[in-house]
Amino acid sequence: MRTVVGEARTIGEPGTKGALADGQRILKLKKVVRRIPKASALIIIGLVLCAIFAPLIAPHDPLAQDLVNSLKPPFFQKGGSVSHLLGTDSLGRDILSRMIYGARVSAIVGFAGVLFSGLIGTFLGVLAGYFGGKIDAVIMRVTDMMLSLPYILIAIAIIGAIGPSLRNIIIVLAITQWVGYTRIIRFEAMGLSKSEFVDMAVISGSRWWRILLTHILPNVLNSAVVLATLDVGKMIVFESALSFLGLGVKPPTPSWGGMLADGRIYLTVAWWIATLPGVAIVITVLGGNLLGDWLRDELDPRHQLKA
Amino acid sequence: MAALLRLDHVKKYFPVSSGIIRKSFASLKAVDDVSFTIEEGETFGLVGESGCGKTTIGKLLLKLYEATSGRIFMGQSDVTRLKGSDLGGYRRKIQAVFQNPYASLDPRMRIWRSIGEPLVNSGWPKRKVMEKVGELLDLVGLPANCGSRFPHEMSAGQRQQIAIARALSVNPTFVVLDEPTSLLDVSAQSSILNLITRLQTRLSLTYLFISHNLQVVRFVSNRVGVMYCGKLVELAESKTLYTEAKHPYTRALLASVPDIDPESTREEVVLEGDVMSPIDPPDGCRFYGRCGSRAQVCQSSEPVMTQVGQGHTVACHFCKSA
Amino acid sequence: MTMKEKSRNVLEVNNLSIHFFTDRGVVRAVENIDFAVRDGEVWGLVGESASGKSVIGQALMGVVAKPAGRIMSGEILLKGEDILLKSPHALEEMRGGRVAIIPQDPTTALNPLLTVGFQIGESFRYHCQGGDLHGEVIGVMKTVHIPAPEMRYEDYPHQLSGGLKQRAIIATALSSRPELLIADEPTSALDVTIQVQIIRLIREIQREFNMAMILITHNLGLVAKMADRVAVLYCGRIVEEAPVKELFKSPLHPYTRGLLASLPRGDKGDVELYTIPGHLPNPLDLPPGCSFAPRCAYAEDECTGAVPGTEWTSEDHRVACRRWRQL
Repeated sequence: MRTVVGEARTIGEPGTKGALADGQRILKLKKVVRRIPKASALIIIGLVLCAIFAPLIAPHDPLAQDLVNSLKPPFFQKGGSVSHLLGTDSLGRDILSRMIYGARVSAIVGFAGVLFSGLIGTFLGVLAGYFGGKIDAVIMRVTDMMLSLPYILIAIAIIGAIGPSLRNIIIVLAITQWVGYTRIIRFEAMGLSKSEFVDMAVISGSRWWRILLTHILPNVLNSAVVLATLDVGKMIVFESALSFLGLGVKPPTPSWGGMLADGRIYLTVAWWIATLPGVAIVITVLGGNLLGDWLRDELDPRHQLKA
Repeated sequence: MAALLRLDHVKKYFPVSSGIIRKSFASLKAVDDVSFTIEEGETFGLVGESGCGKTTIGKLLLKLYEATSGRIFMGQSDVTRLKGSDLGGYRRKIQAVFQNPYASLDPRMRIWRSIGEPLVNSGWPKRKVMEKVGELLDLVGLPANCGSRFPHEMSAGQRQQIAIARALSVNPTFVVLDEPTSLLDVSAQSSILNLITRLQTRLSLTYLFISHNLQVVRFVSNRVGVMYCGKLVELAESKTLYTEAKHPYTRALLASVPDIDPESTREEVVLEGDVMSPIDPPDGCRFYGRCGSRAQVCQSSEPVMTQVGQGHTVACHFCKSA
Repeated sequence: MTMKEKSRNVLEVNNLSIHFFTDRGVVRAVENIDFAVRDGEVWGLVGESASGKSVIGQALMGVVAKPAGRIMSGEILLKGEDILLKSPHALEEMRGGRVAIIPQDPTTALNPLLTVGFQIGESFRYHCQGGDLHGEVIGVMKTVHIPAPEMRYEDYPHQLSGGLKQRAIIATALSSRPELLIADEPTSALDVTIQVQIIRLIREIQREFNMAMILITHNLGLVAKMADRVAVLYCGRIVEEAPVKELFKSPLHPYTRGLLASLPRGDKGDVELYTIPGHLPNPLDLPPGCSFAPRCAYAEDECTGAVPGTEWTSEDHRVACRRWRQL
């Protein structure tokens, strides 16, 4: 196809507007920052802050039991008090403090989970896309196998073998969730491998590993980051599910999923024990998803044309 | 002049498959028994329309493809199949400039890194690379501070200049130019063509210039080869080809060149039908279906390249006499 | 323009300006364009990238990209009616009906999932109610010389070659007997021997149906072969307009001259090609006065002062240059 390619993006003689170009870049950054969806960004930032500063924010020790004050409702309900803003659980532990400390677990699992699964999935996807042939076939068959097994079963098997803990949850998530990246990254890598600048790299004498590292990986990074952001919520939900089943962090360490499990039997008498952590999960996942959606739109080059 | 490169009965076939079972049922004969030489220091123009195989020839020479059969020689050595350090050495001697200024540069790499890539692969330390990049930018007429910019900040013409700088970084002896100006505006085209010719004299380069644009090819080439459906149909010195073309296809091509002199009364040749696809081509002359002067023999037997004049060969049953 | 010519105009564009408002500033894509296309003529619009030629084509079809693109001023009169004042519904009726377009790339212009016959028929269906649809489509396919039209009717676009696809597109454009045909780089995606076929076809059709046609292209050779009158566009303004033969024989504007001089001609080693010095200006930051002044060998102070007005050097030839008399 011989489309005449436009020259409309010239910024004039390179160098003459150097300082102006830097100024333009800062302006551009400001404009991008202005566009960030405030609500979802705040949610994620809030999560991270709770995780980091939990000891400073939490009003009580999350592990401190106070059987006298057990099953106290939140402050806005009759019987509640301001000393326990969101009430207490069956052992008298402060719900709010447990939720704040629980954010730690969620944040760590969320970020570490996407980091490791993303790394594995992207790496395998790039290999499959670039080399094709047998390597591609092998990786894809493994991916298909993993996709056909429910992650819960694998989780039960692994946790059963090595025991429940935060580290082990991350291992399970990394091992089971990388498949979400592979197909998409593989497709992108395939397209990139056929592009002219990769041909040029070959002609320049670059070996395959150099091409993967310097050309393919940086160009799939956009997609990988978007996928990762959208997955943060998924990780948190999975951790909650595992903790709910007793396969997650060991009690008494507070985690949202664990709180859900604890609070299940008290739903009719003390709804807040399970519901409030549940709400926290929903809000966090929503925030992550919205942020991921925004990021995907933002990084899409066709989006640049908005006035 | 010594022959720098020689193609000897080179063939490149691609299996064509379709269906869920992916059974290979046909062959795309992109290059079908092509032989010619490229002399040292000359510009060899290769023209033809889509599917003729000219780009494939370029990629075969660049070792992006491996020939299905036939041999390629550089000087005296057989370079048809190379591996390892031999391949690395070969790659330093032969570089390329491609058509699309927007696709041949990695959008995420700064320009100096793109230009310096071949040098880095040769093991040059960063400082020497940066120095050389500065020299190269100067050589192609770009300001030195271009190096730290990204491709999207440059115009199409400037990007082709960068592509040329990159190709020259390892001091090659041979450069394949595949439609280097086809996507450029007229003003950018003329400056790139001037640059290419100037550099050839200055650096003693040999070029393979692939294009569908006959005026451009005439302007840059010493000798020109015309390809159709995987085969070479005519080869001659540039002046001869443009004034005394013999093959009916060549004449049709020449007649299709837009003439900006609206008063000119030039032969109008309008071919019927479509450009032949190189997938499972018919026996006999590939041009049979569209040729105005065809006969029985053209359908049954394939013509071979025969001499019709000084340095002028044609593959046509009707053009035997000088 | 004489009164005689005004009455024969199919299209009249007066003082058209289109600007694009982007994150990085305002792009003055089209500035104060005036032109007219007469009945039955082929009017060529020549320009390089970022000259604004495609935007003019878009404006004529009513598809300038919103919200970034805004028509700042002007009127586009199709047989006296101002297109810019039409409602979206009225524009829809006009598009493909009174004004048809032949786009650049036939492959992307056709839906790969629908048969060729169906797509050609789409225009019929919308613009001309009633009648034998199948017969009409076959008829128009014959007009554009598609061989074996009954068979091709059921084919999908990927089964057709580039040339045939472009013929199908032309058939679609013709089906409603438009008053004005806009051809935007109609041959640049085709092989050269096919281009010759398509050029001949378009000329034949244009003459047979006496349609007015606007040919938008960067290819000067194409314009020489097809157009009656040509306008040269630079940075959103028409810098010269003349009948084709005259433009090529005696170009007056320095830019036109530069373009013609830059075309490769002759054999190797004869002479170095002329290059227009400098480069296209940044569309966000056009030079003051005459946009071509920074690159013009003949520029004087008066050229950067204000935008040069259009002068008619003869009945049919106009230039936007202050110094044309001295050159």
